[in-house]
Amino acid sequence: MKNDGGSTEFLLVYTKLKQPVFNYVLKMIRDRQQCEDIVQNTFLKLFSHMPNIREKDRITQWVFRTARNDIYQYYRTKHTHVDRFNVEDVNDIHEASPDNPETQYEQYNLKEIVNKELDKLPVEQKEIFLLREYEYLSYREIAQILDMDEELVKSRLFKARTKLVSRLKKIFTING
Amino acid sequence: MKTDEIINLTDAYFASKTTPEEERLLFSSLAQDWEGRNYFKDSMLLKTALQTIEEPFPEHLDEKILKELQLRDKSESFQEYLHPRFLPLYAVTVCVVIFTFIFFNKMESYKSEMDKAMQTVKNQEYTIELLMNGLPTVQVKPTSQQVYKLMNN
Repeated sequence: MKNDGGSTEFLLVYTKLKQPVFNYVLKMIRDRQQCEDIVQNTFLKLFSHMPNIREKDRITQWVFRTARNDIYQYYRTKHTHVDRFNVEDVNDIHEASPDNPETQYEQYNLKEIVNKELDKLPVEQKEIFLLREYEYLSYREIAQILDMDEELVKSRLFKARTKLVSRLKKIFTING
Repeated sequence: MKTDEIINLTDAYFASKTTPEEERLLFSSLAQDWEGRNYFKDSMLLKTALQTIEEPFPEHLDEKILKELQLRDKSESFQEYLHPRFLPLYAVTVCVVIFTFIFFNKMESYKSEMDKAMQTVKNQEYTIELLMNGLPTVQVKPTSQQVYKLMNN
């Protein structure tokens, strides 16, 4: 890549946002292959549009909105390949953790339970919750990304938090 | 401190956007506010849960994106050179190249003509030298009057 200002700026944004965007997309669609495609597409679009984005302080919103559009595009076409990649490969557990098999299994189990609890939330609540928790976006920023009222964001986030907390409290109490 | 302020400060704390002073204020306020304390506990629980399911960014994806960007950057740079604003410059460059080629050819032909002329001159010089050498030697003798003058002097 050319080492001009635009590329440097892009790399800074990319380094900052790649992890939250990846996790946001992955939790929204639970399909690793599609998630990687969406994340790649999002950042490639960002690279192309970087010089045209006038409000540089809104790049985070731009990135999440682009990713969200792709997620919804995926939802629209989902009925053709429903849940094909939804189940995580069990072999991944061994690479992910150096603990003994029992702990690995427990962690994997816990991870799956938390993921399932998250999936139980309605999509509109889940996305607000993820945007808030992964990128710590303000209510206003989330409202801009989702193109909705700030009060609606607050109320949905409150509902999502309440539901998740009540479910997770039980799980974490059981798992110690 | 009001509960709303504690909630905002708690959010900022979990987003790592608080100063040490604000953190001290938050923790001292939490001890006095039951609702705020519950919100803090819930946030902690959610943070722990999200950390459990957080996936690291795959290295192969990083590589894929950066490689793709490098390719795009190259093709974009190439396309930039094809912009119409560069056309006059390219036209001038082509003309200069053509003229250079023509002048070079002319110069080469002049050079070979010059070499030929030099060779001819050399040959002629050689012929003249041969002719000069071929002439009989000339002996110069003084006339009788000159001999007389010399004798008188």
